[in-house]
Amino acid sequence: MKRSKKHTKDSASSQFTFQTEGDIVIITPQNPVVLGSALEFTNAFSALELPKNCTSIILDLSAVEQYDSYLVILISRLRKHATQFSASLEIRGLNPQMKQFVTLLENPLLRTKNRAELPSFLKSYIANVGNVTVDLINDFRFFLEFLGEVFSNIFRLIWNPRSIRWNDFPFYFLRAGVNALPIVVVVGFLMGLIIGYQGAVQLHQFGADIFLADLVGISVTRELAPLMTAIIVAGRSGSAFAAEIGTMKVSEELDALSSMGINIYSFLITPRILAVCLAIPFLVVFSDIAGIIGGLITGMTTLDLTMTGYFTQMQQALTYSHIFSGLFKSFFLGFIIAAVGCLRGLQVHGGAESVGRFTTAAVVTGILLTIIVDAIFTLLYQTLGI
Amino acid sequence: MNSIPSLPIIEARNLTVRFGERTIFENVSFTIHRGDILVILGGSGCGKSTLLRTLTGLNQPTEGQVLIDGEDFTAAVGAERTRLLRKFGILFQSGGLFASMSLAENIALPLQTYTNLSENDIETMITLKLGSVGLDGFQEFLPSEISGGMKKRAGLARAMALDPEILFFDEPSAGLDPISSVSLDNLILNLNSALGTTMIVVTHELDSINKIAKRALMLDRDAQGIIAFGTLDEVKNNISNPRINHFFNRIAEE
Repeated sequence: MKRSKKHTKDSASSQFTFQTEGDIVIITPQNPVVLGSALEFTNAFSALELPKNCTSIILDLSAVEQYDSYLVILISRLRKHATQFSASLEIRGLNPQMKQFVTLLENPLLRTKNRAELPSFLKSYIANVGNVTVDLINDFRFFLEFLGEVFSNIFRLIWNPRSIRWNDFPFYFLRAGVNALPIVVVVGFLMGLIIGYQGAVQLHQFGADIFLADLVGISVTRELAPLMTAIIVAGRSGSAFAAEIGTMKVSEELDALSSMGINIYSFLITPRILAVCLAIPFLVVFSDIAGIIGGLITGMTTLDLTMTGYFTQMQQALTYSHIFSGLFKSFFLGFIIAAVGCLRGLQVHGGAESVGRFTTAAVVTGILLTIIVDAIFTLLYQTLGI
Repeated sequence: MNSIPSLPIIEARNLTVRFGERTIFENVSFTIHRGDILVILGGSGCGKSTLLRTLTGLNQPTEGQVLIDGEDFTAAVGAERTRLLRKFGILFQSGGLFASMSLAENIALPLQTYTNLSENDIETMITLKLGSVGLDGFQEFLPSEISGGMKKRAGLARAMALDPEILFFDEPSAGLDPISSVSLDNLILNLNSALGTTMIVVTHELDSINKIAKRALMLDRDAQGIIAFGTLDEVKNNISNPRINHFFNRIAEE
């Protein structure tokens, strides 16, 4: 490889000799004309000044033995210069192989001289707004279709329990449920601990230490455990579903299923959604227990509560409605997470990069909808007095 | 084109590749000269693709060496290896294009990494390279938006971005319709005669072999190595070897 030559001010002469005969300019590049010496040529070019009255440029290539695509770039540059001065360009000293090389590569450059103009900013802005709107409408329509398919699948289960593929159900249940247990328990425990510490400071000021049991018990079972579990499941299972189904779509597996007359909703999607819906309440139960124990530990260490006192108080405060309202809600959160994951997977088109994009979208949309639905449930319970 | 330069551009010396207990090939030695079109052929599972991967450094051979321009490529590391790697381009079986980049960006990547070209010159190079494979105007397309044959041609444009001295093709006509396949063959021949690029093509398409091959190298699974090497005619006319006869005359093995 060429080490780049030292760049001096009169580099024009180190890369090509330059001769003027009246209104004719003869440019003779030095060997070699290769990509490696591009920088030197560019510098030499910017130093080059053509006489104003020049009518013809002659490029003499007889000294060039070693060349690559850069030769064609050089020629195309000179062509631009020549048109600028409305001068003619003549190329001399091409050997046959060089000529073949230049012709093969230069053709496309000559053909695409007049590219289509880019549309104006306003035009492309309006077009963009239109495209985004159409995309949104299509997305929404697809979402409705998707929900319709899933619901019809679930209702069909009532008449015909074998209408979906149950073979994979245990696997999904295991993965979305049992495998998530450790992290759900740890997060639930820490939630109880945190709520406990925050509450303990306030409650202690009023001498209401024992009400820590009410605070932890109710906030964990009603809100924190379902919500945190849903967020964890969105991160674990929602993203996994989007990536799996998306990859299957990219590798034409979904097309293969459709062509075999297999409904992808009953084969892939409904089993996944059901698995998450049914697994998530169990996870919430464990999260509840872990959170209550977390609160107990805070109570025992910072407020000197006894275990018996804590649990007796909790027995009075924590009714079934608190516990079951959380579990009931989590069932729907699970449905949303799994459905969004599968939906995003089905929306994948193109390649690997698209799978990544929609997997991210699955988690983001999943968590967003989880929180919105959680808020709706809170309002609903409030109104109904549950 | 008939002049035979003294130094082979690629030399394989006693290449052996084993994956665990399984020997793919043993003691494979051959040389390739500048400007040649060598076709590596053989039935499925004979190690064609493995040989290509070994020559290009994607696999390390268990034993033996690959020499490029007389320099040991197998043992080369760091900057030395990068320098040798720049001497060749590879067209992967399904193009190997980066899905997240447009065709223009795919081609610009090696140019930006390894040359001092200005942005304008890079754009000219992209037009030039895409044009030479007949894809001019597709600059802004993503690989997912073009057909399989176009992906291969775009992959070829990227492989040629730095004007390599050697081009490797892994099954260039696999999965292409006859017309695309012939036009790719023509492109290979054109590039070879215009640029003098050495081409190493792995394929088992007979039509393609007959059209482009100057020399042929045949591998065999049972022989675990080369069973024929020479000009295409020499290899083809060696019908005394049943394997070669069956291959070229499309006779099923009993």
